[in-house]
Amino acid sequence: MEDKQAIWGGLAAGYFFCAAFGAMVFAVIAFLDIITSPLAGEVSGTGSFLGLAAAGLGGLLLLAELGNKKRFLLVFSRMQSIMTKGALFLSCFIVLAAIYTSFWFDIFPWAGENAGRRIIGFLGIIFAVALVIYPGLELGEARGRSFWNGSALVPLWLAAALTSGLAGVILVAAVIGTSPAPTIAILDKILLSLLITQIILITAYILGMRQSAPEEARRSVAMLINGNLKNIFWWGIVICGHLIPCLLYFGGRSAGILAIKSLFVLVGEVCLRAAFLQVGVRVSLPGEDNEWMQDEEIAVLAARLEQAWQERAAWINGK
Amino acid sequence: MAGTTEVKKAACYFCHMNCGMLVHVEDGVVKKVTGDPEHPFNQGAQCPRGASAMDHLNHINRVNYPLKRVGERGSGNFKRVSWEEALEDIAARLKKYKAEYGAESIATAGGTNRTDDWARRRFFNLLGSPNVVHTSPVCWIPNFLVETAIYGWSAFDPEIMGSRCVVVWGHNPGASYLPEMRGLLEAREKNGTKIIVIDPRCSETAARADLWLPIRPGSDCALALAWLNVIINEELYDADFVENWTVGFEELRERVQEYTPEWAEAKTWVPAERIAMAARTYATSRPACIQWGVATDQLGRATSAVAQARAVLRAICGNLDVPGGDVMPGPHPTFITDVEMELNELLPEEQRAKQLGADRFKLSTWPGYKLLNEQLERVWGKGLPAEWMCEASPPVLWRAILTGKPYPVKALIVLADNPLSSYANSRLVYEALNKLDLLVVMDYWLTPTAALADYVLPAASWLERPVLTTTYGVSDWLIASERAVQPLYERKTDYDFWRALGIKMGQEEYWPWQTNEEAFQYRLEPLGYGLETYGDFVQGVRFDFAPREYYKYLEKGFATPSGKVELKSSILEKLGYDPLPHYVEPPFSPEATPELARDYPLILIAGGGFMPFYHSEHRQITRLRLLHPEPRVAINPELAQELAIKEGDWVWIETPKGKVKQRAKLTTAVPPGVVQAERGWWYPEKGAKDLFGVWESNINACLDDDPDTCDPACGSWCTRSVLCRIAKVEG
Amino acid sequence: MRTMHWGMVIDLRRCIGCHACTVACQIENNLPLNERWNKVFTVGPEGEFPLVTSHFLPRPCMHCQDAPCVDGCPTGASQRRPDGIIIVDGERCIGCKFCMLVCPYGVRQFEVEKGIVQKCHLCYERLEQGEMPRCVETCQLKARYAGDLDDPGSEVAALIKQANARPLYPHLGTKPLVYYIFP
Repeated sequence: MEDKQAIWGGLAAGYFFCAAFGAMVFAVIAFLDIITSPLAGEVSGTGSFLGLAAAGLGGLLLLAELGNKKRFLLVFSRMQSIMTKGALFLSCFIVLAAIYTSFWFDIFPWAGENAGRRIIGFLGIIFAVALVIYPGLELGEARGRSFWNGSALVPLWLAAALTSGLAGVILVAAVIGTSPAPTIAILDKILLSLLITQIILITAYILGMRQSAPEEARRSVAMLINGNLKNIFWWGIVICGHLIPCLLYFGGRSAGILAIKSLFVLVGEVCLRAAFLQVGVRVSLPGEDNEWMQDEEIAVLAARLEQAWQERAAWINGK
Repeated sequence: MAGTTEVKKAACYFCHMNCGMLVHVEDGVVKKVTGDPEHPFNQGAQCPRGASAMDHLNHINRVNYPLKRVGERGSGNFKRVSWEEALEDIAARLKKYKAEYGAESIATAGGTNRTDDWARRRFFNLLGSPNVVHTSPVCWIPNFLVETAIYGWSAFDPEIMGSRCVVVWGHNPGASYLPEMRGLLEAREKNGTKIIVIDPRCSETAARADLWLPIRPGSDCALALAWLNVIINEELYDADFVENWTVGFEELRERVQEYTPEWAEAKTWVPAERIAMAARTYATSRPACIQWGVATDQLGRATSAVAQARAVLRAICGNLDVPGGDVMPGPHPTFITDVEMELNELLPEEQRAKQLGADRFKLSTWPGYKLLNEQLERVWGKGLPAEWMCEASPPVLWRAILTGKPYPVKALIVLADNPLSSYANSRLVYEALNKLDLLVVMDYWLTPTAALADYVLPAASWLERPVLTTTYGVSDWLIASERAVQPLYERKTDYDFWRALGIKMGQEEYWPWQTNEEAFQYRLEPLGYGLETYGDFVQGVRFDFAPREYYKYLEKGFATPSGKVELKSSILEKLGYDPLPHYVEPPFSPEATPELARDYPLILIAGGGFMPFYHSEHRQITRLRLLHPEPRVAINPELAQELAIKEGDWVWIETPKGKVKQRAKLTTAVPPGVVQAERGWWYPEKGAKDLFGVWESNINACLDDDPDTCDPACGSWCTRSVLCRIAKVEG
Repeated sequence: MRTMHWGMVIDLRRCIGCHACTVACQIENNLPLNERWNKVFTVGPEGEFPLVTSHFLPRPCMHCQDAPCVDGCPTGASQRRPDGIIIVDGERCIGCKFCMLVCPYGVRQFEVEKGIVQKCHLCYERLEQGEMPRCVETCQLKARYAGDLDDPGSEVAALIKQANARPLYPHLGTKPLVYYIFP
């Protein structure tokens, strides 16, 4: 059996985080823009640029993940495939985010055009939301990996994405220096309620999986709680991602505290993506538990043996 | 220019099944190897070893050129030399040893005999040395020779399809001879044949049996004797056959009275009622056969007693030479069999008398061989081959090399064998090999033994040589297969080697056939097909199965002194052994060696075949090695828990002789007091200085081959029931 | 012309776990030494000595009728042929490995050199030439069969009926075309 899901590794986890983070930073900024809430222009400009850059980075990570990068355009071939849909959402989001961001920079002639900007922003939000909803559905298509239950993953990762986005905007504000702004205080309160919501959702998700019938789901839970992923779960997600940020709410609202709190939240969010990806192990086939070596280990051994034969060849041929 | 493509009909020799292979050869290069659908054994199939034949042919670590040692023995320094130089030097030295110490100072060691060892024997007979050894004492020979003493041939070809009940005794075709396994399952499916398996552990075959008797390792004799007790006392034997065709029944009846099922229960760990029930099932299913296996040939001093009891079982149940029973094929009457190629008649009596071990292990050496062949020649017209059936004793050989007693042995030619791996008491073997003046090794690979050699000679494998499957002349059929390609590089066939060396030793007139094919052609000539070449025979005829007759004894009697089945064997008696079945406890057990059992409380089964390897072979075929990279010792989970051993942990297996490590495989296929280690392990990827890790996991290093613990008739040492202790490897 | 559906039956009462099919498949398809399209698992021994049972389970691609790998493939490289065999068009595969992720039987392998995903294709080229898949041909125990599931007179159809052969984990809903005769 798998000791962890190893098909989609760090690059994929990175993509999911970057895409969610980028999409929701953008969405928060664009939303505030549409409801004409006073957020300083630098924050909006920097923030939407950050959202664009994160999504762009996510796209690059996705590209790096491919085995055959030259043919990457083929990924758009089949609309029935959720992968194609996701690629489309990402691409459309990046385009719209880029246009939206450009509205905040004076070098562009259309900068400052509020109505146009808000329409683009609105369109961007649609794709941003699609971008953060589809991963749960995508993972849910893996029928033998019961820990990834699509309908339960979607709300959890949506909340996680929103949390990342809020933390991102607050971080930008704290760094730029506009953190005392009242809007930021409201965002900060929403972030707290989201953190609490996440705690509930994660707890419910894990408890639900623990009672479930499929053995691989229960195995996944064990990996998180006291198995090979316990560090990333307890230290990364629980403590860094939730406990410390919640405690920091008692620390006031200075720029420093806000920045540190956001960073912890973001660390927790990265860990959440990484952990949830690694933990989605496949159902064991009969006898699969008896295998001693994972496929990767076998590949390493093969290379080592072949090298050993190479090294001996000259000697055995009397040279 | 278009190339030539041919399909050659070869035979795989990675084991004795000799499955038929079709080899696609393009311009002299092997492109594909598949099973031959027309071959009666494998019917187009391949096991993983045969399937990966091309990996074996082309492996970059095959020995391709003769190598000569430079520097210290064991330093691993070799230089390439020509065949001419190597043979000249070897011949010169052999002549020197012969002149100074006598021909008997020159010996040869083989393994499972998957080469043309009639040629080996021919060379040694012409040389004048009787000292040929193989692993024969622990492989098939006790079975065969004891049966031959009792009823004048071995029931070598049990007719499973057509039998009502097959007892698979000490044999696991499910991990070794796959076509046999298929045959068993087909017989059951088609005819409802009952399969009884006798094995201490739940092997692949036992798991598919109708009845599995999980006996204590080494207690096979007790089981067989209890069966005799039940069958005789409940009068389930074939009274007619017993009356008309056996001698010694009354003595037998008296002898087996003490061997009740209750007595056997204590010895075998199988409940008395089960033993009795199994005996009744076997005896009342007619025809039935007992499929022999080599595990019972590896029980030290208990070995031939098992064969004896089993042979008597077959006889009194009336299954000898009946359709669907224990068929005794006899030798093929027409073609020239192995024994007729050996020139045994040219080995003078005084040299025969010097055969190492012939003074104590009399059945498997010249004394027994003579007595048996007298009868066989009388009735069948031909006897058994000396290769394999009349051999020196390996434990005595190693000690002779080391101590010079009874006389010095100076030179050893090892061909198709890796003695450091295949013979028991590896340390002793190692010391003996190091003591030799001349060690010549001919092999596919630079094995741990080859690493110690003065000369390493490159051997051709079955794709590079023709194979004549004749069961060494013990059965009435043959299958002819050709080579797919000429030997690559400077590899030679074993026949080429013996002939070339023989010519250098002045034996030229006895080696008229220049190639394997010519020799085979000569042997097939009398069949009267009138074909020009051996290749023609393979392509045109391929199989010759003499028409099978049953109840041959009605016409010729049995090939024994009395002409009947000797339940009380006069030949065994003449050689000084108990003529009737009797109980012998294996040499190492709580009962036999209680002090030893205190410190070594577990029973070790050292051996048992397992895919995808064969003995010590194929560890360097990467594809196969990845399926089973490291040795495993089977341990019951209860025992493992007691010793805090987890699945996959390296554990030490220790006996007074040595200790090795293998990885723990927790399984309920063995009982808590028994562990089973894998045989044949070395690590070709390790260094030559460490002898490729042969001391790390080779279970034979833990086994004792003291002649006093060996079988008195055949010299078999004990592997399948030894005392050991295990402990987790720390750090 | 009637379209047929290739299927496979694997008799677990016969499979002896020798791995010949694994090795022969590797050689037939020129795979890297460590890549296995057909694995063989050892089930058991279960139970206490001596009342133990054990068997072996060869695992090729299941060629599912309702295949998540085909549904999810963004490029259309993973396809289901009309005769039921699932193949991967190596020219279209971008190596995103989504199919590997969603396959519940874990049959797909990533070929590092070529950067594409590969798997058992039921030796469809051999089938087209009237030969059996390599794994079927090489099995010494005659434990594997391939044939037309839609033909009631075929060997595989008869075996499925007589021996109550069924796919592995049918509850996953992918509708495999590989049937097992469980011991």
